[in-house]
Amino acid sequence: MVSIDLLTPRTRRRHAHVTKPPTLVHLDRATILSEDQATVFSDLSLRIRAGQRWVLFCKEQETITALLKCVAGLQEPERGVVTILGHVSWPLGQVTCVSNKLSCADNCRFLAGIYGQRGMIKQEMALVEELMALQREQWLRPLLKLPSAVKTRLKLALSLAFDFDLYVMDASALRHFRRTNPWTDTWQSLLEQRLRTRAVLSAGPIPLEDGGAGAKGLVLAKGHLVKKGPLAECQAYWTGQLDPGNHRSRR
Amino acid sequence: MLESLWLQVDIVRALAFREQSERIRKSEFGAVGLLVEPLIFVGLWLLLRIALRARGSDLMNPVLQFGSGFVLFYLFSSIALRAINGVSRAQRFADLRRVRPLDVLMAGALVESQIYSTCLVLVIVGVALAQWHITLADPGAAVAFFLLLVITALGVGISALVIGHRVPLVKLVVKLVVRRLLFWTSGLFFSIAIIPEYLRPYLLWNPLLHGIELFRHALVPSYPIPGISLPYLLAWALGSVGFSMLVYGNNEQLLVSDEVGE
Repeated sequence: MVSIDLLTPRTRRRHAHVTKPPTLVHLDRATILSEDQATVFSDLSLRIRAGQRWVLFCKEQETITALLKCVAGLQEPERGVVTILGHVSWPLGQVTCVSNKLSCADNCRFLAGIYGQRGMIKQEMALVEELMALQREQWLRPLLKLPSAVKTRLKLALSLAFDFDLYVMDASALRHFRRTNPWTDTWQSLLEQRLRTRAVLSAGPIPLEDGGAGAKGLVLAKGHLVKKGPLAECQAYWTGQLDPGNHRSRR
Repeated sequence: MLESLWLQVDIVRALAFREQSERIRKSEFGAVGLLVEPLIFVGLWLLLRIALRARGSDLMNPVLQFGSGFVLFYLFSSIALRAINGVSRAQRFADLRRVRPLDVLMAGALVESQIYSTCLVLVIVGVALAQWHITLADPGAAVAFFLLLVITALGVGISALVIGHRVPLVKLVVKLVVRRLLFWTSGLFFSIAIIPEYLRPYLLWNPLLHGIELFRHALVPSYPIPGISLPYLLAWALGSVGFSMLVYGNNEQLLVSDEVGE
């Protein structure tokens, strides 16, 4: 029986009789091309199982964005197959269906109705309200009338509020958020709670103290997989391959 | 399977909540504003009738007759026409993998049903207050006929959406039929009983006419409904929704991939 911590209750029920961590996402020779037909990534095969941690090393932001979206099911590859068998988050902080006409409360209630657990909508809304740390009146005001930073904060709060089997994230975007927004203990403990027990695919180091424990690495260069394996090996390979003048090396 | 069904119910309710909240925020008068538009149409047509001093049919209270006809017609056309434009509306939720185009269409139908059922209740209560007498002989039947019209509208809309995706002319034809042809042939301005017998067979092809007349009959049992058939309306409801689910199920990927590609 798979550990009860690795999966959301719904997915756990679906895989009640399996004895090894089930596959959550399977990319089978997936290829994505850009609008001008340049290769974003090509012929990539990847299987992410429950509880696994994957760290992606890549210089090209377009490849990172496309791969994260592909794994999250938001982008179809031009060739190959992506099979999603679990509950996968959208790239953390990149919820696009937040409506400016609605308030934080209404947006939260909407997403809680779709991604929340049955009967837990109020608790999930309370969690997001605590993360947002807004006055009651601001919580109920349309996003259109609030600063844009509030919307950014809301998007990340919504990404972390719900329970997914696999969290997909761009670590550099999260670091940017932490630099530009108040980062309280509530945020940190929730992030740790989510990332510690579930599968993670992170572009960049996983923001946990033991983020490297048991993790695997994936190195992409110019859209092609060059190395896949234990994180330490991939990290060493990545460090060795970096151009000293490239600022991205300081991730 | 039950769990999947509950999940879909939750998703449809969440989508309906969002649509309703957005419409309320957009309206000048809040939630009341949602009811104002359909009621204004009823009021305008009633005023026109009074201005023309048109002779009433004495079959039922003219406010109830017009009110029920208009509200049910706008219910049908709103649901069907919104369903036809469903792909572009579902695009907004492309990033939510759990949301399917069908969920968006059903949520839209739910919102419209809530609005127009409230309008109907207001019309019936308004007449009751004026007459000191509630005109609603068979509320269960009235609700059933209302729901059958909702189901028929959804079935027609989804069928037109899917078929129209492959043959765009179908969408145009359905929109034209709903907005123009059905408006004049669905019994909004007349009762089927006053139509000459040689014309009735042509009008009786229209399922919306059956729904509206049956609803009126549920309000007033003495309201005559020659040639009106509940089995016909039922067949349309089940047939249209069954056909729409069949074509939708075989073409959902086409709709979804076109959404993502747009």
